[in-house]
Amino acid sequence: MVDVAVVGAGQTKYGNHELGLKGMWSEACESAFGSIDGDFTPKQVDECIIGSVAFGGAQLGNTAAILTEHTGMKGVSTRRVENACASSGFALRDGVMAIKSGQADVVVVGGIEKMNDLTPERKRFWLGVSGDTEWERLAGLTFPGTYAMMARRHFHEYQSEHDDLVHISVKNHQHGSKNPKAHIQKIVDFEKAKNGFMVADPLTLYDCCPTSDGASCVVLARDEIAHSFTDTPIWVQGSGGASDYLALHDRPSVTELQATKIASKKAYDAANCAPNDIDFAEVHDCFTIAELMATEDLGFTKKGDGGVFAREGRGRLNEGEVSINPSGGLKSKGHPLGATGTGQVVEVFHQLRHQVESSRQVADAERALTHNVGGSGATCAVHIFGRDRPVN
Amino acid sequence: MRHVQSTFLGGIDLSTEQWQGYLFESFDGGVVLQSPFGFNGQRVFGPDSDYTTLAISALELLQANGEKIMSCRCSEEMDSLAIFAATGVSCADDAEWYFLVAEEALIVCTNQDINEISDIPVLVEVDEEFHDAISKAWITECSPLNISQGAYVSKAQYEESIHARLGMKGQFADSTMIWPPRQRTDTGEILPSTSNSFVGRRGKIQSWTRLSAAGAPSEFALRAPILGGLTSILVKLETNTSGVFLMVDDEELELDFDLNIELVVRRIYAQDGFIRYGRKARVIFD
Repeated sequence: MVDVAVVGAGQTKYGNHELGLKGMWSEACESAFGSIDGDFTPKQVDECIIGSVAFGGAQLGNTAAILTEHTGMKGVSTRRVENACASSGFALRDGVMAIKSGQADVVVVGGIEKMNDLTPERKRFWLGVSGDTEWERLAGLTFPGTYAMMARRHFHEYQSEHDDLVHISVKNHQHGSKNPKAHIQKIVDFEKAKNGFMVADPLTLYDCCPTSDGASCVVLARDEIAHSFTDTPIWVQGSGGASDYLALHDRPSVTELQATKIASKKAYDAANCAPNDIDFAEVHDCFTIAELMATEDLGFTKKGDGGVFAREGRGRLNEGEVSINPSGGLKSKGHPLGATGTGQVVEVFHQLRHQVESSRQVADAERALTHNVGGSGATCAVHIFGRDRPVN
Repeated sequence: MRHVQSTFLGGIDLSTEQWQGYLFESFDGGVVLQSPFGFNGQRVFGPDSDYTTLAISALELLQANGEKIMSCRCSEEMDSLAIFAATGVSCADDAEWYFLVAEEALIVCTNQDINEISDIPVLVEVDEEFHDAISKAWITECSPLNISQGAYVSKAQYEESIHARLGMKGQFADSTMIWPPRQRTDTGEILPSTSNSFVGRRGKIQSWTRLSAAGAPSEFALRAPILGGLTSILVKLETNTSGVFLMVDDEELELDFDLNIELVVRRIYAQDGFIRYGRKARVIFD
């Protein structure tokens, strides 16, 4: 069995970025390539897989070709992967499979999105393109609306409440305030988060992630050559992907994401571990209710207890049983759609190598999970990483 | 004439004269249907109504009262495809039934000779400024120059599913109703592309949200700010299928789980020069 290691990872700061697509991708690559301890040149790359929604349509076609061309990888087999907000989570999965299949030794996976150079009208259009166009969109729904419906139903079925979501928002802002790469590096207090501008009742502004520019890049290598790049590779222990009905109304339940449950089971099985073996997780909190449901669907707490989990602070950095979103998550670190999945891996790579700022280092981190969701749950990629090479 | 200072039909007693949010008066061989809204004594359409939605509502009322209408003479203001998809009634020049259209948001559907149309003396006052803003937004939206920025429901896609959207036609397989239509079952079996199975027009609210104007899809960008946002609901229909719908006549309503709703035809949005109609939900208390 071939194993896959992460040997380098880097990203731009997320936020309102002054650089365009080429500049941001170049910066992310430079950061990732620069994090590789040993000798590395882009010419060693066999495949380059880039996740992006191509937000705004500025380079909708051949996105990957122009980006690799500008980063020393001209000639490399490349393509764009699009699975909405889970685009680079699936780019990562494709990269892992390319190495495992024996077709590649070194693969660059990453993601990119430029979201803040559009007019509000154009931005609103692009924010809605990944939902169910024919039925949900004509019912007035974009993602704030679909997640708001999930939240209200969860409140009704499990007695969770909006204050639970506020706890998640406050926690993630607390975590993100210490992350120099985060879009919003500030603490938000409970009262402010509770009383934010109503976006989609019951979700307020502080329940919603920002729209961010950003790029992230991860270098994967086959087991036999991983140590030529670094003495401390981070191993991909498990990878799972799944899909579900795109529209909410087709799902038997709107208080869970089946794609998350299926993808995480695959990843746990592949890694031969259980939720309580995970030290920290980067979960897809595009809305606070998404994190609440993820803690249930990923098995960190039982179904219906996500509200209690949040209320009791069980996901706080180094306080709870599993640190949830030490980076600040999408809520605070930001959410440049296509870049988010591999951006989570950047956090995992540096956390597991104990290389982040001490104030936000997950203590004794040995194993971590990333959870990347497309839209309102139509797609999901879950990966488990560890300092130890998988036992085959 | 009774004036009511509200745009909320649930706030006035219209139980004997209200159908799908419109006022009506039945007579032997026909029905008068009209918008309840107006200002300065002038009757106007509500924010998402027109002669097509009135015509569909009138036919559904007559059908509910047992009339078997196969065809009807429609007026040029009406969308004949939408009428047929919603009601099964085709527009034909030689039909016994016909529509009379009055200027002030009123129609008659009848098979009798009619000489005079009487106004139903109830008027729900609306704000003139609001009405003007919505009317102007629709004019802009309906313009052929109002081109989509990209992904949207094209005319072909709209017409492909129009019988499911307006006629609430589903697919019946293995004792299960399926709606909106699918190509195959979850186990891969091919489903019929069209079906006469009626999904129903009533259901219960499972969840809901009120979207701010900034959170609404770009298709609603012109009207959502005027309306102060949009309310969308998730509904479990009587046949155990689910759907999401925009609300209508909900300004003063407190929504709740399991409230009963009915689905009525209204304008959804317009782009590239034509209007997409669809079902919207109204809370019912009977």
